[in-house]
Order: sequence, then C-alpha cells, then structure tokens
Amino acid sequence: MASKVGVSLSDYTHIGDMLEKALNSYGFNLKGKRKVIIKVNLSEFRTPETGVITHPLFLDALLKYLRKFYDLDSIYVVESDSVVGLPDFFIRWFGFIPILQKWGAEYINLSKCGSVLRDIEGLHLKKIRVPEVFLDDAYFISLSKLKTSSITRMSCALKNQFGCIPIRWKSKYHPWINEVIADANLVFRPDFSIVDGIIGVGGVQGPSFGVPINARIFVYGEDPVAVDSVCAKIIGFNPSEIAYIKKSEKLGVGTTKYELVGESIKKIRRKFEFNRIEHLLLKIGFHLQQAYSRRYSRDSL
Amino acid sequence: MKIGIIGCGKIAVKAHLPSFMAIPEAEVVSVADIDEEKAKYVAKKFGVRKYFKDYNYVINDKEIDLVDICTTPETHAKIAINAASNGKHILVEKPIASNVREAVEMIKVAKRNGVRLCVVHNFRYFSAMQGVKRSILEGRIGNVTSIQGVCHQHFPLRWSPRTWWFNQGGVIYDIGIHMIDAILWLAEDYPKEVYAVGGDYLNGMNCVNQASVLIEFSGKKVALCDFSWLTGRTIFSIWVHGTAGHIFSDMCFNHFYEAHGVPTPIDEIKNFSLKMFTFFKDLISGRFFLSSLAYHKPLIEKFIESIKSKEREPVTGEEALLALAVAEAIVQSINEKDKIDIMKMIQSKSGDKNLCV
Repeated sequence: MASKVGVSLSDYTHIGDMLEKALNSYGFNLKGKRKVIIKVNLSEFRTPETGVITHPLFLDALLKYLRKFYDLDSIYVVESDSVVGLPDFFIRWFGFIPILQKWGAEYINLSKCGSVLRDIEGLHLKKIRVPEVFLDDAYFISLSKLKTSSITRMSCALKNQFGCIPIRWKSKYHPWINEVIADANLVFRPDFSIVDGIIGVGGVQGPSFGVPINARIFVYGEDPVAVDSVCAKIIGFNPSEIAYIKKSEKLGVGTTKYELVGESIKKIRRKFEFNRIEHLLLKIGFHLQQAYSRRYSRDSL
Repeated sequence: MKIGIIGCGKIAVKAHLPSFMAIPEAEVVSVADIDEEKAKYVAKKFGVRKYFKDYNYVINDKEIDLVDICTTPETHAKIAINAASNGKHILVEKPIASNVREAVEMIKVAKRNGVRLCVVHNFRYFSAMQGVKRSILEGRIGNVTSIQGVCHQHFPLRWSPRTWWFNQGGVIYDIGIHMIDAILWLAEDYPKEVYAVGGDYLNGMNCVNQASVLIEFSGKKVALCDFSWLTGRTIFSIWVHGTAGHIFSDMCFNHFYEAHGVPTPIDEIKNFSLKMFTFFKDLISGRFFLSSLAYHKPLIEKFIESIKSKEREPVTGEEALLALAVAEAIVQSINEKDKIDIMKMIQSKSGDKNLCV
C-alpha cells in the first residue's frame, strides 16, 4: 500500500501560512499526544542560508503551527553532538534561542540528557543508546533538510535520525552508514517527517559544503521512506539507487511506494547539480588525501 | 640536535613530529602532554624514547637542546620562559603568545639567556609565497604600494574537537595570524596603524569571526585584508600591487603569477599552464594534500641551521610579536571603533615606554 507524501511550494517569508495550509490539507494529527519532539539538523557550523542546517524561520513556523492547533504540555527541540557539530553553541549562534523562548519550546542535547542501552535487530547495530527523551510517550517530528551527500548521495528525512544516536563520534559508523541509518530509523522512527528544501544543498560536496539550491519546496509525510523516495526523485536520483532507502524499506521502516498530494513530480523536480563523474573524482581525491595524511603523520586515528 | 616536544595535540602529530623525523640532524628524545596516555601513544607511534605528563621534565632534561612548544597559546609564555631560563632554544607554534605583554617577556628572557627563539609562521615557506617574496625583492613589480589579502577558513571544528580558539580573538588568532605575518613579511615595513571593522557576526559566539582590516605602514604602503570563519571554503590569497606590476597568489593551489601591462589571452594561457604544472607537481609529491602542514619542515630545518651557523632565525620573536600586535590591534580597533597605533599599543601593553621593535 502506498504512503501519502505531500509536496508544497514556499519561501521562508510565507512559510508560516504555507506550512499551516499544507499540514491541514494533509490531515496532520498528533493522535492525542501532549508532548512533541522535533529533531532539527544542527550538524555543522554553517549558517542557515547555506541550506545545510535547519532554518530558524522554518522551525518558527512549525512551532507556531503546533501552538496554534494543539494544547501541548511540552515541545522538545533536539539534536546531538557530533565530531563537527556543537549544537549547544549553534542553537545560540544561529539565532534559535529567541524562537524557542517565543513558543515555549525546550532545547535538549541528546548527547547530554542521559540514555539507556537497548537491544535491536538492526542490519549493523545490535545495541543502541536511546536518549531518555525518546522514552516518553511523545509525538516525534523529524525536521530535516533536502541535501545531496558525498557519502550517501542524499541526506533528507531518514538520515536525520542518524543524529538521534547520542554518541559524539558517530563518524565511526561511516563505513556502514546506510545500514546504521536504517537501524536508527528502526528505533527512532518519526511519526511525521518534514524535509525543508526551500533552500536545499546540491553539488557533490554536500551535505556540508555543497551549493545552496533555491528549490522553494518542502516535502512531508508520515512515512519517512516514502518521503525520502520523493526527495530522491526531486534531486534526480532513482530511490532504488539510494542504499539507505532500500535498507530502511527492508527493515520495515516504510515503503518506497508513495501517493503524491499537492504538487506533481514534474513541477517540483529541481537541478541539484550532482555530477556523478565529479563525485567519483572527489571520492578518489578524498581517499588519496587520507592516505597521504596518514602516511605523513603515522597517525592511524 | 636533541629535541623535546611539549604538547602532543594534532599540530604536533600532523606537522612537527613528522618534520623532525625527516631531518637527519634532529632527534626527538622526549614528548610531554598533560594527557599522559596521549604522550605515551605519540611516543610509541614516533619511536620517541621518553614521555612525560609534566613538561618540566623536558625542560630540565640536560640532554635536550631545543624545546618545541605545541601547546595552546595561553601556555606558550610560561613554558618558553622556563625553557629559556634553562638554556634551551625555543621553537613555538603560532601565535607566539596569547598577548603582546607575554610575547615581549618571552623575547627578553630568550635574549637574556642567549637562546634562540623562532615562531612557526610556516606559510612563508609555500613555494608560491617564496616566489612572491623573490619577485618583490628583485624589484619586478617596482615599489610595493598596496597588498590585499583574503583569509577565509571554515570554523576549524574538523581540525580539533577542542574549542579553545574562540576565546582568543577567533579567526584573527587562528588562520588570520598567518595572513598578518605574510603581509608584514612581504611588505618589509613596520605597521603603523590598524583600523578594523567586524566582530561576532553570529549570535553570542563572543569572538571575531569576520573582519575587514586596513593596515597602514610607516612607508608609503597599505594593506587591506578580509578574515572570516563563516564561509565554507578555505581561501588564502594575496595580491601585491606595485608601481611596476602586480602579483596574484593563491596558497590553496600554491600558485602565483606576475601581471604587467595590458591583460592578454597569452597571459591567461601561461598562468593556467603554470597553475596546472604546480598543481600536478604538488599532487604527485603529496604536498597538495598536506597543504600548509608540508611547510613546517623547511622552517624547522632552517631554524636548526640558523642555531648552528648563528644566523638570524627564519621567523624571529620580534617579527612574530609584530604579527601578534597587529592581531591584538584588530580586536581592539573593532571594540573601540577607532584606529590603533601599533607601537604605542606595544609600549603600553608591555609596560615599557622605551621599547622599540
């Protein structure tokens, strides 16, 4: 059975109205939950207009919507530390604090909030740390960005849950990144996924150093696999060539079959400037750099 | 020459130790780090005989001739002064110290004890930078009238998970100090006044992450530079304009070219060919991948030679002090929204009104 995925057009100036219209027409429903967790993307020191991290105006629009239509006890905006991500600083430096204060939302660093170890039947992980905030009966919204990636080709809804793993050195999972993304979604499966592609990231140096693409769209739905399948189409990939989408479907996270509401694929397809030859050369260059650097410094770390 | 290295962080492992290992007359005999496990790991990795948690063991070791300081800037002065007092020559990572007062003290103590002090401003050793300097010295662009520098680097979280740097003047004290040193070195002149605009262009980062700076020299020349941590790509380019021509240089590709007279397509073809030649040469040698880390070795080699031959150090303490003074003046100018007289600032901060660099 196909999952419903919505696609809407907007810019950041009108995102408040457009998001409200989009979510209401989709039939967004918190299913009686009084707590909401929003996983944002603050994974890198890049300013919001680069498209790399969550845009404060999008978060503002989402919080406004939630406060307007639901009587909630708490809203948690969450992110975890990574090798190059210091969300405790980024949340302040990139202007999120006034927005959180305005809508009474609380920021939680998943790496610092306490966690429990849980057994899972993942493709790579057999145990995973689950931050305590996820143990509550809360509605989980994944608010991600529409980006290309030099490692996984694209980074949208499913990849955002990789950032729910609370350990800082997540890069140790990079050799098995596709399996670990699927495993993370087994544990942290979002109830609703929103991919902000108003300014996305294209080119072969994504997700951190690509070209900002003024795509003026956002994609949303209850099934993150279906949402990512639509995102893949928008960027110009076939969902079947994105390994973590296939693996997530195999694990039962969702389905690649989607029923599109809102705009048609033809209208929303954008040029994300992902040149496959350039991508291959970049990968070769990256491996050469690693090899030279290790040989020179005798550093195996 | 027997070497002791204090601080086993990334710069020691990625640049200093590999450089010493490749210099036949240098032997690293001990390393120290406040994290003893790290010191042990580094000693094992590089075949160093001794490792310590307390750097005083390195300084007091009679076997050691030269102490290499690779710790964070606020610790440079204390370690360097102790080492100089024990008769050790000193190599110190940039910036020379965390402030002008400490740097002046380091230079004085080194002089008093008859030891040599050199600061790692290794960007001078890019072959492109050496080429720019050579062209200027040969008078190929006449008298230098102005220098423009662009120094951008992504906030260096990839380099180190520690965040000590943004308490210390931000981008200006990080990569910026290399640009300041390069400009002062190429200008061959004393910086007279500094005026800067910029500061924290984010929310509460509380350090300079963006700045545009004007440096006026004692002679008739001026430098204009732009520093940033906010953009995504590393840029380290210097344009030097003279009365007889221009030099355009880009350290990311270790490339420079001179421009004279009317721009022609032949110029462009020649420059492109030269750039590709340097690029492939650096690619094959691996220098392209190591970038600035490849240029610690020639500086260190030159310093060891200068100690033996009693010649001038490749980067003197005074030169590094001037670079630090300009950095400090930039931060002060941003805060006070006024131009800063460099010499007056050095004299007032060091507490020595007769000091002349």
